Amino acid sequence: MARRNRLEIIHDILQLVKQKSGRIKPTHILYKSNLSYSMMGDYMEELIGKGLVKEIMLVNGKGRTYEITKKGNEYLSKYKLISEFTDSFGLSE
Amino acid sequence: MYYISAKMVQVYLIPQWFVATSILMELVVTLISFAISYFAWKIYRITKEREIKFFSIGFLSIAIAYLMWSLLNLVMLTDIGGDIRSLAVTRVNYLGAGLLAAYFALFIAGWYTLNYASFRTKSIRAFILPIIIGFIAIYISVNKATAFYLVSLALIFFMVAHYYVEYFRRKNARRFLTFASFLLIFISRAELFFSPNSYLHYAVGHSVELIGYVLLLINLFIILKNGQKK
Repeated sequence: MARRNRLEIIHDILQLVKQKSGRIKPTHILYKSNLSYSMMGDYMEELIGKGLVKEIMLVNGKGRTYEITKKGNEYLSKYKLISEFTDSFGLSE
Repeated sequence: MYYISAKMVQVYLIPQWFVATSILMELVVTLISFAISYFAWKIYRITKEREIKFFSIGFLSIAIAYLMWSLLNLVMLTDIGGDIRSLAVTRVNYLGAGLLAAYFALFIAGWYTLNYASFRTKSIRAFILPIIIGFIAIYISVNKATAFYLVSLALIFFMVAHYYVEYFRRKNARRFLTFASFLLIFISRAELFFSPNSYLHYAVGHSVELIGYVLLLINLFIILKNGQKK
């Protein structure tokens, strides 16, 4: 399997979050995304910072879930264009 | 001796019959660069990826540089006889000097910004320092035109090398098109390096340059077309 680039990883995480919007826990993302715990933490922090996902703290204070934002959905719908552009102009890692 | 020192300040010679075509070509390149910058910015707004932002800024800077160049050709050329016109550093007024300085600065800054985007570094010093060194090198140089051509050639060469590596990392038609575009732009700049001595180099260099940018536009169209597919 080819190594995924950053934008592909972000796409995969957003897909996961979208599929279980509002109900996905960090452990589920960790399990499904094929990332190490620290890498997943970095990515989630980045996605929240960029406004692509929203973190929701559970009412009982035990844990958190994630929800995709409007911008996150836009990322997914335009992903093909993003991927073509960054690949053609050598902007993807 | 006077002839040599006069030549040293010449930015380029241009045949009379090519002036209008040249201005048109510069405007086309301006539009192409704006288009690339605009689409890169649209993608940056979604992804918030730093490299894409700098790529967009780089092409914006290049677009404005070409606009300055077309203005220079529109108002600042000197007739030197024999149906040949020239742009000489010593013969421009304040407006011309301003346009020329803006053209040099924006072109260098634009190409360096594209290089910086390809470095994938977050160091802002790595962005500012080489630009300042490039500006100083041109500013203190006796022969500003030659210094400008050499610095821009070096910057474009590194972009060609980057796209060469990218193409061989994963071969596909779009990557090859990008590599070919930048290679043509590099060749055109090598031609323009000799344009202070011969107007033919100016005409050939400028034409090759246009082909390079048109290939970039074709690439952009392919990306947009493929990007629409689900």
